[in-house]
Amino acid sequence: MNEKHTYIIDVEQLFKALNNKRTYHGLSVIDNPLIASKLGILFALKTNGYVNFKGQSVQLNDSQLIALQELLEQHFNAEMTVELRQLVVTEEQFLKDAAVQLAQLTSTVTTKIGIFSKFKGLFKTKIQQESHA
Amino acid sequence: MTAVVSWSLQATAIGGHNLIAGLSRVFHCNHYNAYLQMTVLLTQYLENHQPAQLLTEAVMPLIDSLVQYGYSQSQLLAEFSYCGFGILQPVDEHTWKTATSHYSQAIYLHGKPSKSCYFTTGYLQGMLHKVVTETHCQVEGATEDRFEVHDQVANTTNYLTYEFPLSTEIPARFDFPGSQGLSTRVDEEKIITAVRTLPLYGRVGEHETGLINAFGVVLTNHFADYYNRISYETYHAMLKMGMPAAESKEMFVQAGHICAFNTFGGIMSSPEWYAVVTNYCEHREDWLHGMIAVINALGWGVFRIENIVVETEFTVRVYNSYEGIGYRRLYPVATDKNISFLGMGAILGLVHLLWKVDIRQRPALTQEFYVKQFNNPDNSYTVEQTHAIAAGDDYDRFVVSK
Repeated sequence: MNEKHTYIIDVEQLFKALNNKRTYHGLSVIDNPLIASKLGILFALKTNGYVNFKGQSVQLNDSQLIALQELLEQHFNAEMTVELRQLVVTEEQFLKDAAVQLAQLTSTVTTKIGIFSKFKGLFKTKIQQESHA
Repeated sequence: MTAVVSWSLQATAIGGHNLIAGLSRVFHCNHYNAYLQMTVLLTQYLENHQPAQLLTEAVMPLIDSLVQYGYSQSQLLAEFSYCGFGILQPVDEHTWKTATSHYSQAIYLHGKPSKSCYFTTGYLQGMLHKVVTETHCQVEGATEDRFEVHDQVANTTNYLTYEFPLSTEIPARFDFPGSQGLSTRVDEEKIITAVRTLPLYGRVGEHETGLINAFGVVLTNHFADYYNRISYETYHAMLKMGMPAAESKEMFVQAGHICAFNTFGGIMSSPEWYAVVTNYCEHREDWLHGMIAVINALGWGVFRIENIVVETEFTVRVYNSYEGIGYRRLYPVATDKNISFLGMGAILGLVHLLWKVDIRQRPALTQEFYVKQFNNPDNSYTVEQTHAIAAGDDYDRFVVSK
């Protein structure tokens, strides 16, 4: 497993997207603190590493990102591949954005196009694996 | 005090426990049961820990105990319904079914629908001494739950390995060292007597469900030892694999908080509450005294309010708390005092019902209200357990504060 990337996800946006997805499919909205607690426990047990979902953002590596996708599907009944692809920012991009923000306080530019294409590969591989299974 | 209930079942109230056939029973709602089951199932990834098996097998030694007490199979089936678990019926030699069942409601199922009647499966295994599997579940869309009985013998492991008797030294209300001289018009004994006369049991027969619908929730008169076994085994498993203690406790405490919102909130909005309790209530804090009186009829132990500082602090002791007593029957003395998770969550929830959302205004107790108001971190209180029977103290003590 390639573990070299670090991805950053805004937790509030993630939970919002999760509940949007659930609502779209006629499922109930889940309390944010409950999502955070469940994900914290599930993550620790599945990956042997504790990730705190109660903060503003989480940093995940490649395998953790796949674990998150699996947990969301299995335990929250939400297939979130597309949403994750849209929400995730690489650490390099995050740092670049921060630098841009510092330099241009009045106009924040966040370009995610490059990141999406990076992720496409990751998720495509996963989806292809599943469809071939 | 002894309350004679239907058929030959007898519930005996001793030291705040409601004993049926020598086993402590506690009233809990479908929200608590479903949330707790969901929490236990979160540990499915843990090596050498099978939560589904735990949820199933935890009831088996308790059924053994009932059989040793003299229960026949028909009495076990009657008690299953009486305690609100539904109606369990044989189909043929190898098949049983529940057309209505408490655990097939699975209200906190967030994942994909899956078979959820672990308790019923274990009840059957304990009764038949055979391995049983659930083959159809209403959670998955089946019209009834079905269970297949295999030829393989199901072995029972008794986990109640320590003797720990109920305390008989329980002080009167407001009459113990440390009590801050509170008084109220709320007549606790009358409220307890009134609650004990309510028909809080499941019925069988035509058009009956074996469920206990009351106060806007679905109640069970459940085995205290079942709750303790599944909760503490799961909690200990989480700790063992390195989960932070605070994180491991949180879901269990939250289960109590949800229980308070739905059951206490439902009770405090019910016609029975308004008929029996509110007549005694002059001040908002009398509602705290009233609800504590009701809790003292639920089999959870004897709750004694130590102090109330309006909207600031609420301190409660619990003698014979079912969690503390249960812990000592399961394990050696604990070193951690924040260990009665249901008590912590329930007392915190009670405070939130009065000092955070004001249940007297009779808000609709919806999921949306829970998320946006009741469980909103803004204006929330915190709870600490300072004394624990599990840790060798004479009582549990909870302090809720800002």
